Amino acid sequence: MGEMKRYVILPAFGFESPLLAQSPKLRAVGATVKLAARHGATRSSSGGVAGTKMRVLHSTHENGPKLVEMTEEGELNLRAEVPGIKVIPLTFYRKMRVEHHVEHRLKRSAAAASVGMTVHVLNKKTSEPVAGARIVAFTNFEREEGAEATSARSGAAKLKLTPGIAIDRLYVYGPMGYWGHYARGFKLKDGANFELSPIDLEKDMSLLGRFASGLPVDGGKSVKVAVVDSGVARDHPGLPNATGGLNLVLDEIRNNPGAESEWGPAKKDGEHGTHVAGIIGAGPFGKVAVRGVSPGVELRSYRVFPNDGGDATNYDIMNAIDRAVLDGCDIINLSLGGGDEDEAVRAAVGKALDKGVVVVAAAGNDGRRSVAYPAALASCVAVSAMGARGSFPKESTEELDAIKPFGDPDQDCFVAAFSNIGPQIDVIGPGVGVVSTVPEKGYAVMSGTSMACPAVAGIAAYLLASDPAISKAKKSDRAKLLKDALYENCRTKGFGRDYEGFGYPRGKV
Amino acid sequence: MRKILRRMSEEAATVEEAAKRLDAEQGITVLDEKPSSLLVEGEPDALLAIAEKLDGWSLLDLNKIVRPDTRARVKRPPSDA
Repeated sequence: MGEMKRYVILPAFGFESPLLAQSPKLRAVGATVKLAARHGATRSSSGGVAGTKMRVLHSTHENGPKLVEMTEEGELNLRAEVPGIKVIPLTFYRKMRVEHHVEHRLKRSAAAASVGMTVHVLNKKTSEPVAGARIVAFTNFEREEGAEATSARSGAAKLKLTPGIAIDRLYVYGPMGYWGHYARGFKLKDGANFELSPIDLEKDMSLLGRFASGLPVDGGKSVKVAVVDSGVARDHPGLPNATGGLNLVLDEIRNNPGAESEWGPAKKDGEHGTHVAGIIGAGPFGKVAVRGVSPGVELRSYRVFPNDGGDATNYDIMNAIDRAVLDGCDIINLSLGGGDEDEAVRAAVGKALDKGVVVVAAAGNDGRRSVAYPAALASCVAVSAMGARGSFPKESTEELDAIKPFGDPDQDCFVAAFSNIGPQIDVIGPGVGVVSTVPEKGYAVMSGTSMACPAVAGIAAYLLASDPAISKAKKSDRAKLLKDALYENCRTKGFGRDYEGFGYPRGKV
Repeated sequence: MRKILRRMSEEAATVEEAAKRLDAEQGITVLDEKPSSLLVEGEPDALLAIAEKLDGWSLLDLNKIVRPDTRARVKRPPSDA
């Protein structure tokens, strides 16, 4: 049945709304009411749908917030039955305390400063050297102490560490075309070799490959999806559907209006957007089987991260969202966020929703912390990240993301260690060891709620294209209908409500 | 200080009208115009004062969003080196 918990019910926007007075179940203060089971609700061991009841404990007044008591399953059923509300767990605050911090000053001897050793990164199949692999060696993972280096064309990388030093954790992040490698609890010798498995593009066994299998190769036809990110590669053979976009980075376009057309990848650290776009809608071609969820979509790139590798401003993100709506995009993907609630982005997302556009946002990668903004906004579809053992090589870095909770009954599935969680989570998506397109016509592995988010956006595009009733609905209803269809498409994995929301999209309808 | 002025209501003054009013204000510069917003620069008090006069517009903070990356990073060398 589940533990009864207390929640505050608010309207999606603001503090009061006639919606709260109109719902008979929310009006019944003091009474216990039965909530209708949503489509896809958890079944009890006897096979029946999990019954859920709700008791309204208090109401400020008929249009105002309510205090209710129900189970986590009940919360999902309530949200399905009464869309347009915000459901917030009852939270307790305590007095602020002053905390004193002690700073440790690190001492490094002159001899230590000149110490170093060379390691080698090789292709596991051919033993050829691998360039561009990033080696991150922690002597103390908790204190974030260690050294980093990138392998050269020779495969060699020099680490500023004493040969024979004890390593707590070692990550080798593969460059384009390779999985990673990890090792724990060993002594690192000068001349050590690390082998990386090449990504098999002809047989996509990654989690995204499994997620998208069974979905039509022209799924999402006629749907426009906006990628608000670091830019999307124009010339990737897997992305012929990246048809246009805009550079919104004000510092670049202000004195150079021609730079508005530079919606391709940012010159520095620009691969993220192309990877995200590929997850939504890359197509297979030739012998390359790697594909996105809905290759039939039209992808529009709205670059908000600058060429110099710096951060994006909320102004540019807000304008990107506004522009995507004006350009007729049906779905907007935001694989970005963080920090406190941002009013500018909130306003733009709210306006997008009013125009019938669904905004899908990544929950954030702060390791089980609360859902970041803008995903935490009730107006966004907030996506957490899942992984599955067997979808990446055993020795690859993704294994370190596999922590509980594990799935029930599928124990190979796990909620990624980096994933933020909380009551704002709507859906969980494939976010560990995701193979997708990157600039220079390549493919790479990335992990993050940034990857889970576009997988869900891709499913939303597929559902929108599959159901004319949604696309023909009037603007004010369209977003709600599409979100309903998305949530109905999901099935829980047994992680628990705060980890997965309505669950993992099952794909084909 | 830089801030965002966002048009929140369809009944509010248009961006062009708002920009004209701001141009006339001492100490406020319009850095950028978009269909629903303006990026402005000026003293906080002056910005607040003009925002209060623009019905249906909100004055919002300019913030930064970092690039997402889940890869582990070393922050300092070994302390026992």
